[in-house]
Amino acid sequence: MLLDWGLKAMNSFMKKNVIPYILAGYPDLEATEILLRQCHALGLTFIELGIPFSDPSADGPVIQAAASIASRTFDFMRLYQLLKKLKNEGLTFEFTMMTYANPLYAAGTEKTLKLFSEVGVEGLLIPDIPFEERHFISMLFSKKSPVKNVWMISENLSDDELSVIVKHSHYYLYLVSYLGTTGKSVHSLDTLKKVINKVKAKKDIPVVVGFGIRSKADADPILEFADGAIIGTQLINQLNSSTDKACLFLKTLSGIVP
Amino acid sequence: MKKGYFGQFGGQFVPQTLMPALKELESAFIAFKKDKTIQTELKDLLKHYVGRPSPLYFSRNLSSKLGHRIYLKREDLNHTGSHKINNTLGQILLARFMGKKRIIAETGAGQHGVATATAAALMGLECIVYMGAEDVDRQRPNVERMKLLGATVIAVETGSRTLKEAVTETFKDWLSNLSTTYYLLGSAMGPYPYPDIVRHFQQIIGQETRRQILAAEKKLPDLVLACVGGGSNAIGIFAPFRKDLSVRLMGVEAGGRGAPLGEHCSTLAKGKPGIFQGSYSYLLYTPSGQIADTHSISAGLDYPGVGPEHSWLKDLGRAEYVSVTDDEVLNAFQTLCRSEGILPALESSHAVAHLIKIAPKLPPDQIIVVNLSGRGDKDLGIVLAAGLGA
Repeated sequence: MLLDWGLKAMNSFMKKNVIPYILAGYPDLEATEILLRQCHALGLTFIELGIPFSDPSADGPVIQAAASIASRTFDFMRLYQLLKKLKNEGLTFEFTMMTYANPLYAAGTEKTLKLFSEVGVEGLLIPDIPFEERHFISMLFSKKSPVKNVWMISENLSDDELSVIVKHSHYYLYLVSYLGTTGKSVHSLDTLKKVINKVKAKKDIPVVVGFGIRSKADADPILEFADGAIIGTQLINQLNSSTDKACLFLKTLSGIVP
Repeated sequence: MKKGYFGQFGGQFVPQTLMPALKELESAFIAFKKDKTIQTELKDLLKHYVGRPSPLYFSRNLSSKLGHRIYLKREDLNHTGSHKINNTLGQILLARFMGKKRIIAETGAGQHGVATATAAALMGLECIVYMGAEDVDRQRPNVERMKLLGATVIAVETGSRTLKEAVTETFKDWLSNLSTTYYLLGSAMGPYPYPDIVRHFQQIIGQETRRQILAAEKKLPDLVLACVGGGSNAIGIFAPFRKDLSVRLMGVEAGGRGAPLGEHCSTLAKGKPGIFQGSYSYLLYTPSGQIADTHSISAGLDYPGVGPEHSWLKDLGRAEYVSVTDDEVLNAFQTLCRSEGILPALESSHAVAHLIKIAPKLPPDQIIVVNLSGRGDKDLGIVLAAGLGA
């Protein structure tokens, strides 16, 4: 097993936790603020922060519809102001910004990440930039950037591909639970376990699992061997009913209510 | 040049889970090109099934009207009525070579969908075509043709309900069915190796044109014009002339209703580089990086992106990219109908429209080739609604 001095002490926020995916600005920034406050109160402080994009190619119909609506009014600066306000109140989070490449590219990658690193963004996940295009990411922001890139892995990668991705990862890995778009529920625990064991044999690096995890009950068996489980689509479904429903759903994720 | 790139443009901007499939496609394509039996089969099909070589027709009335020597590369005379069949036959053989049984494709105007459904019927393969719901409405005859050919047409209701959503849905289908399914992409765009694959199968247009014009005029043309949406017919006719620097190459984009973002599809003329649907290329997007809405009278050009090789040719200055408006296109459509008895696709009419526009400004007696990429029967509803033929 390789030691990687770049890894933090396995950031306690994420460890064995449910990780909410919050789509910024959906249905509006006020809702985002309410959800973030609720997450913080529940101790869910490791957050995948989704940046809306008009044409999200890795997402299923629920996130796609939401992102399409939110993308019409989304503005990085307004999101920054919100996160700054929360930080000033003492609400700290560890965010991974999940954004398709073009909104970030259009906003200016380096300066946007620098700004957001001041308000808790530590990771960056770009679903339409695979590891093979990493040179493009290094063109976009320098190695000295405080934000660390997170690569996605999946069961169909060869052992060689997996090895090189693991070698170049210094934060955590995002394991896509099945081959497809977000919001289905078709993963196999055995397959996930196999991939995670392969990763851990190469390096002691956290692995979080995303896609198709709908509830705490779905997440628990995954958290027995993974370091985090991301819940996105189902939170948006709840949000589509009401912000209150979504807040209650977050409570069930934290384990406070069943 | 880095593999998969044209200068700084191109690449493979797709989810990681798709990468193994793109690698499988890349290596299969290399082996496919070396397989002599399949190459012979493709040549035979192009000759006897498609009817190649397509004629290079000296357009006598348009020539005397505009004062140049104008030739039309008659891709509209191909089986299924457009250049799209060159690519779909090539790729369907590649799919069979890879052992894939299920074919999926996107389509805008329906020309690529019809050509894919045709090739799939010929090879006995299942075929699913994604088409924006708005395009299903405005290109109804092609929808019926695809169904008659045995394809399943899925109307895509998301976003602007046109080509870009159809492409996204096809990629999503592929992502969910990687082992069984071949994505037969219709334009010289998307992630590598698609821009290479589509150019490979479409460059026969330019190769024939080069031979035909040399036989007819004993010299190369001064100007080659083609319409550009994703850019497959244009790259097909441009590629074999790329190194002939005396040949001016012009791509004509859809100027739609005018200059504001959302009213046109002039990606190269008015866009900026960005990342979308698999490649880094010129793109139409808002200041916040969201993909712009587009408009064109022709469904086949109604798309906010463009193939990466065109972006490269633009930045090199090797090809020029211009646009014409819907009204100019309708005028060109009518001109070609009345002066030559040829009913062109609205897409191809863009190239004709630009020729009509610039003909008076060119030096006299230029030798000009226009790629007439498709026929216009599918567009009758649109042109009649626009008041033509009254």
